[in-house]
Amino acid sequence: MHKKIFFYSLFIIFFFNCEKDDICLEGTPGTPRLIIRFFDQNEKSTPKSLSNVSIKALSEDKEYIVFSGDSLAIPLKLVSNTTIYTFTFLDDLANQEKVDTLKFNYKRENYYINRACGFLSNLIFTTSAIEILDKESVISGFNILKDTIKNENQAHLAIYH
Amino acid sequence: MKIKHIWLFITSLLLYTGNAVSQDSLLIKKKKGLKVFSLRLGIDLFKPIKTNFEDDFQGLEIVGDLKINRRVYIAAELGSEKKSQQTEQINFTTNGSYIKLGVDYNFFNNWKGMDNSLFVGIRLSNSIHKHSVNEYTLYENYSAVDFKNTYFERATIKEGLLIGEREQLNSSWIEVLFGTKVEVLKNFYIGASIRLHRLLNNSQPKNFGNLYAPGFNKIVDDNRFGASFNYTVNYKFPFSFSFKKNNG
Repeated sequence: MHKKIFFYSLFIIFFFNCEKDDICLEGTPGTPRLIIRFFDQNEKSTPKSLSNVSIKALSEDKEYIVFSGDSLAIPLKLVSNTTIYTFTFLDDLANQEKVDTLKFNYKRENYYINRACGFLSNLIFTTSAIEILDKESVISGFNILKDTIKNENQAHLAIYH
Repeated sequence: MKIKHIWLFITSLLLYTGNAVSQDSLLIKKKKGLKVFSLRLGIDLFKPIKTNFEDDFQGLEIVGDLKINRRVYIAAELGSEKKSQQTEQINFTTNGSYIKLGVDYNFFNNWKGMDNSLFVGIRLSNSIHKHSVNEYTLYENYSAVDFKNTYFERATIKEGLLIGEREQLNSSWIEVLFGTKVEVLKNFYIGASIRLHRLLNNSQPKNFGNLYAPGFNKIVDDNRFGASFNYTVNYKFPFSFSFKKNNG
């Protein structure tokens, strides 16, 4: 009888202990952001920094970042095929804001990673990849460097200003 | 009490004589083929109970064993499961069935007239199943640390190429188990076993993982082990028959 009780309790312990939680490890490559580098509009291979540009998606209430520098990573929406960002430049001399609006068009391809992390998305720019919707003269042009956003190792887009 | 003792005496006597006869016939027929002493069929109790109490689980397991001699049983389990589950980022449903086939070795020394067992066993198991992805949340590496800190609302995908039923999969594994079967009423047995699995072969679907196999349970990325248990009621059909190698 004692034996029996012992074995029953053994299997109950077994039953409650066999679940193990999987945690997606930090640093696992996931959905990459769009990497933009800013270049001089005349000297197209010379990086040119921006300072204090407020970058905000049209659909969101808060800005994503107030950015200074020449290399920027921004997320794109993964529930739709377009994301619209506004770049608000502050002109110190005239003390006024200049807003450029950029629309990104892409399609999404999702891939399985593993159990804990699930799926990631790769973005592929479609034919009219970027549209400058509203231009108040800061951004003069762009050039797509990579039409597939697979990782964050290099810039996907060059913007001239 | 008296009646019980009388019955015990009679059954033990019967079983004893039966065994004696069987032992004899086994000796004679050893060259010819396989003698089976009893067939036990049963059903797992836990899976139907779980089916009742959990909306996202349906399952059934039928068990059986054939007594070859005092120690050795040929045993099998046959089951079917449908289970929906939510992992960290994926919601999917697994639907399929499995078969486990092997041998139990009873190391319990019964008193005369008793037929309880305490056994170790081994099984070769195979499942055929399909996964169906219901929905998933995209993993964004810039937000892995803090889910709520994403700039956009996290993307939960409910339709598309990756949603829906995937191709048929196949998993096979080996099980070692430890269990007991106790006769509670004449010919009725309550049984329980705990099992440790090791995956042998596991086919993967395209652009998804084989995260669960009926009978095996959860499959994880970083090791090939799993565990399960069952809790059964069995009925013993009290007859014996023999397979002959060359019966016409």
